[in-house]
Amino acid sequence: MNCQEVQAWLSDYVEQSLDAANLEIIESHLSLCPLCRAEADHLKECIRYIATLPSVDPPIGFTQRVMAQAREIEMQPSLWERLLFPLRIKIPIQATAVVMIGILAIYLLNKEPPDKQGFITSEATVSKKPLLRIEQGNGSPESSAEVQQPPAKSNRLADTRAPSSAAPVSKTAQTRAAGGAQEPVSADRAKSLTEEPSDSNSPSLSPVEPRGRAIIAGTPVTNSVFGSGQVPSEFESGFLRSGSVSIEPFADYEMVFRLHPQLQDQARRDNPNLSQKAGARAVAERQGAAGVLDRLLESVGDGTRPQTVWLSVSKSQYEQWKKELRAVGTIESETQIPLLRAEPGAQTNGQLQIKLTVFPATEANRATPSSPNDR
Amino acid sequence: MTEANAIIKTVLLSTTPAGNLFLKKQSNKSEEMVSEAISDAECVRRLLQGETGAFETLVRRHQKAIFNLVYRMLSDYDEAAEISQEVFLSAYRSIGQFRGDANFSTWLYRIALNHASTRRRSLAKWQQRTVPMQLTEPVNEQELDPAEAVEQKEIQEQVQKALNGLEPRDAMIILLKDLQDVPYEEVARVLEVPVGTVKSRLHRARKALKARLAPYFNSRGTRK
Repeated sequence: MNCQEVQAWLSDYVEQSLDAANLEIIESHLSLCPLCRAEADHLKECIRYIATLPSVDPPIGFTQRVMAQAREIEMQPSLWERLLFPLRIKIPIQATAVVMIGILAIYLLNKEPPDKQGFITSEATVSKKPLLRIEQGNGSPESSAEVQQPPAKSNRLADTRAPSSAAPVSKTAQTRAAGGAQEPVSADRAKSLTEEPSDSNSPSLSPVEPRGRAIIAGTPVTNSVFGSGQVPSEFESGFLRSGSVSIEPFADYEMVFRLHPQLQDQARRDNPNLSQKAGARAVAERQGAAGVLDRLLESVGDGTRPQTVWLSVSKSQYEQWKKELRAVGTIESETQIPLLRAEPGAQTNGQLQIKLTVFPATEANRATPSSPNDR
Repeated sequence: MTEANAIIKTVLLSTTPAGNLFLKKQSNKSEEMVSEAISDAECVRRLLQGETGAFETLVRRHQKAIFNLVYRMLSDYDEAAEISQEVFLSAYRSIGQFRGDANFSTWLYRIALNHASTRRRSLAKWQQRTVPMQLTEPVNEQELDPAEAVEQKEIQEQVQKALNGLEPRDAMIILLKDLQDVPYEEVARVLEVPVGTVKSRLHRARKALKARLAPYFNSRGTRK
């Protein structure tokens, strides 16, 4: 037996639990091997050290403390006891609570279902939008566009519930209604229609039914411009309104357009008393593009931040419209949106829906102005 | 007549606290003797019947062993007192889970092992903890001459440091077998391993302890 085998038996050896045969073998090895002898001695000492560690008494009152806590545990009422006892107090309280919960449940059940409420709100949001249509006065008569303002948030529901049949309806609205649109026309809107200016040279304001902008219970992000009556059928359908998300109308083309800096600068020089918008318009009128600029400036507001407008342009006039657009700025990109239908404008009576993102003039553009006729 | 008295006593003990109190007032000393005479299993049975006083007997009977075991595991007197208390309260709460197929002490050792191991792991910088020997180690200096007392103290400190450096299960197996002299079979039930595994683990743990005490052995050999 070698040293490793002997050392494996040393625990049993020091505990004197070996049988006689093994004991003799181990002892004969230990008498010859000083290393294993020292190992056995140290192991024996370790056991003795552990065994002679002094006993430590628990703190005084240990048992009393344990028993006090045990009795506290014993005295703690169970869950059922806590719920039910004492009966003369708990039962009336619980009965009252049950009755109150029942009344509350009946009240909640009798309230309007949340789905229905949401649908009415969304419909009201769509129908209440104060809409403006700017018909072109000086520009090309074919390229008319409508400007849809962001809806006012107040009185949506009340306006929706106004009786539509009793309200006077303008010619435009009647045309829309005849076209199958089912939205109610409010009395307020009808009143505004009767006050339309009749001057044909100035942009005429007429209501436009909310089409395409399926903005449900929220503020629209952008202004929208639609052609008259050329609204894709998917925006008429109810499922697009039911929900809480904002759905953009489709567009055949997406354009990124930047207002020409020279146009604005020249406007300021010519008439410093005019506002930026009016000055730019004055210059544009000289360039024969006041109609387009009118619509754009009306759409983009103060012109200090990018704005997105939706335009409806006749397919046959598309190239002419782009030429007018280049007179007032730069078309930075033009992308045709692939749709499921075969040809752009095929289902909208030859009208192209254009999503136009208008950027104000930048310092970079000002440094290296490009000619409007470059493109 | 004696049988009738025993029945009345059992009924009083097991039913009304007032009856229990009455018996205590009658003869506290005789009840202590009775409680010392009854086995752990009987105490557990009475406890399960709702007699909280039976638990006191169990606490008194096992508190020293449990406290010493936990103290040697944690080497901190206050921690040991807290954990020992937790051990007994855990046993009290879960006495319904005690199946009775092992000794109550085995079950208690198992609870102590779990609590002490958990606390030992959670104590930060466990390896560097100093041993408060001067506060808690009851070295009887009157029986030893000063030189022997100092040497004894030094040995105990070295052994406790070596125990602190061991894995909790290695320390526990050494303490159960070499300090508490628990039989192999009971150690096997505490650790829930076969007896052969206990023996091999114990041998490995002792070798680890010896390795940690090697510097002390060497220095002592040099001094000699």
